[in-house]
Amino acid sequence: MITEHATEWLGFPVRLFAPEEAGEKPVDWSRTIFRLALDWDATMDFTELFAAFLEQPGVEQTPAIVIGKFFAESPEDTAEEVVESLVTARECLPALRGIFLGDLVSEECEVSWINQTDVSPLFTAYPGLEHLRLRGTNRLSLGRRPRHARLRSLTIETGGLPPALLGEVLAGDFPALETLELWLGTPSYGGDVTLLDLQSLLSGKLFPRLRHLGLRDSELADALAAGLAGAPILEQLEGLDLSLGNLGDAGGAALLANPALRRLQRLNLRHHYLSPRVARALQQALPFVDVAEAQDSQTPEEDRYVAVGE
Amino acid sequence: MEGFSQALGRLRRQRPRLVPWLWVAGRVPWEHLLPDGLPHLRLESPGRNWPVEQQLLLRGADLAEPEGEGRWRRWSAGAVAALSLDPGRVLPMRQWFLGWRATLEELTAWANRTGGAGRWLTPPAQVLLMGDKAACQAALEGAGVPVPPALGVPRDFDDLWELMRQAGRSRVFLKPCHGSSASGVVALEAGRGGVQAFSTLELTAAEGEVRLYNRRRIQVWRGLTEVRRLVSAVVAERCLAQVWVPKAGLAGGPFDLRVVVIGGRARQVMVRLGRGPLTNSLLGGGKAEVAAVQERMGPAGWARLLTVCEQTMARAFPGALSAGLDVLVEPDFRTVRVLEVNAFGDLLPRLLHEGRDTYSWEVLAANGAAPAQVSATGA
Repeated sequence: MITEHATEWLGFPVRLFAPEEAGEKPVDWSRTIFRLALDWDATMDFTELFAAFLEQPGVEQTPAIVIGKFFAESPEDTAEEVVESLVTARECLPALRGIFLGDLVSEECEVSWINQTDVSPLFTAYPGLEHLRLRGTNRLSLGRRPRHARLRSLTIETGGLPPALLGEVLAGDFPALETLELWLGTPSYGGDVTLLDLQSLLSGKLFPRLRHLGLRDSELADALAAGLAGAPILEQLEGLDLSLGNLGDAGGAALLANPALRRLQRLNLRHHYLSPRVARALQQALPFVDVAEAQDSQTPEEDRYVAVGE
Repeated sequence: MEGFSQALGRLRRQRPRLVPWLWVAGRVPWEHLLPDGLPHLRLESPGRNWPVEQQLLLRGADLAEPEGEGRWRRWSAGAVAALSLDPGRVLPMRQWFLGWRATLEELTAWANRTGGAGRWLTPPAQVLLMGDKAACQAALEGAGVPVPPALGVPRDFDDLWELMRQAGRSRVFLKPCHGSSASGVVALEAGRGGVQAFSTLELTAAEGEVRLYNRRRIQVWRGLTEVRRLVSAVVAERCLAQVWVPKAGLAGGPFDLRVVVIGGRARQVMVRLGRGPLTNSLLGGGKAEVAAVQERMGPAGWARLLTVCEQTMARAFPGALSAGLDVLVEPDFRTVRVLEVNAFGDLLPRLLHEGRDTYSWEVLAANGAAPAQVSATGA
């Protein structure tokens, strides 16, 4: 379950943009990220809020933008209008390097109910974009063969990653991509990706600069861990993130038996079902591993939930 | 009850006179238990006591609804008398409340007759107001207290759907007007993705009827058919439909706060963490969480929250010595809204404010001699 809005991103503090308070306090625009979001009882729509944001003196320095709830009450509105607004505003935001679209907590909208859209127009409109973070995969598309020369990180957060969307990511031409984070989720929410679908990614041939790979929130965590045995991609990685999923001792043993993991700098396994014994063995073998947020390792397999379903 | 008696003994070297609820509700003569001239009268929670509950239901069986009220679920006196304790089962809440109201009105009349009208630590009329969420909502709105907007008291599922449509709201809470804590509460959301509801309720079919049970685990109900079945069963208890205002979250989940106001001052605060949209004290957080909320809200925000609680009591319940307020903080960690006011919301044993528990603060705030108690357990 997602319970908190972003408070910092890309090393900058994230502040809620409140149009009625704008201009009251001085803002260091080049070092502040604003979060644009409609309240549950908002009286304006997103385009009005965005227009008020663009009128702020200094907005041209903004390094990144976080978009929260972009629809009024009904989640039936998609993010299409948001993407259109951003595309139209491209000349007002010349310093923009990061876009986080969909910073909603489950108290506002279940992640599986967030209606995204085709975000590929952003790639064309913002050639300087380096970081794209998306939450919710309903109607989400990156375009059939997305390409972006500067994109360094791509994150897709969901309770279930559709295989078709994974296909778009893997078909992408992202020569600068260093960090790829995909939440796989569960089949109950369309997360039907299998290990087979990930083979081309694990081959290491797709993204030459990739250093950090996250395959998070997965109900297939044990199979993923086993599938990493001999995976060529490990040779180029510095960080691997298998957190938020249902990793158990079978997966833990597979990680222990994988010598290629020893040269990593970070291994995130937070939120797991490892027994204390296997967790300790991992800490001894891989001192950089993070095994916090242990779930009850006695939980029967069918009740081992991922951290973000719905 | 014990907590208050102990505090009274510790701080005042006095013992309260106790009257069992069972006697009062069942009209067993009890007036002789109380000598004249007692300085204070205190009502205890009648809860968690099956014979008292049964007696209140029996009493409610014969009582008519006031003009204009809906037709809520009722049982005959015979059916109530034939009941045995069935843990978790939801019994006709409105009927229980009618019995409770009649009992408190009788106590009020007795106090008026015997010159005790001004001696209530919290007057029965205010306890009744807190015990009716629809009336309480209206009172809070009238007093200018920030609350989530209400859509009304729906007669049935279609009525609720229409209320949601008219208000343009796709996420609502359905709260039994006379329920306590999370009992019977349903969180409902509708959208293009369908409709779903969260509740600790369980529906079972037995002996040709649908029975409602409160369970500890939160269940998810998906699809119109399922949700309609759940909502239809719950609205029969008389529920307030309220806009589902998003709650702020800590790492563990969304939370709300229980703030106990005693003698006009906000004292004990507890964070109640939920694994889903429902929070209650069973899922309580610890001191760490209170500190975390304080930090996120900042000193001014935290002070504002406590002020809202104190003003709520001063404006809407000026005669009440104490109450436990359930307060929501929105995800911006700034805006706060009062969700509920619990007359018996002081049951937070071991949680200290400036070194004293809730009961000690109540004794000190009452600032007098030994009050008599009307108690569920007797003594």
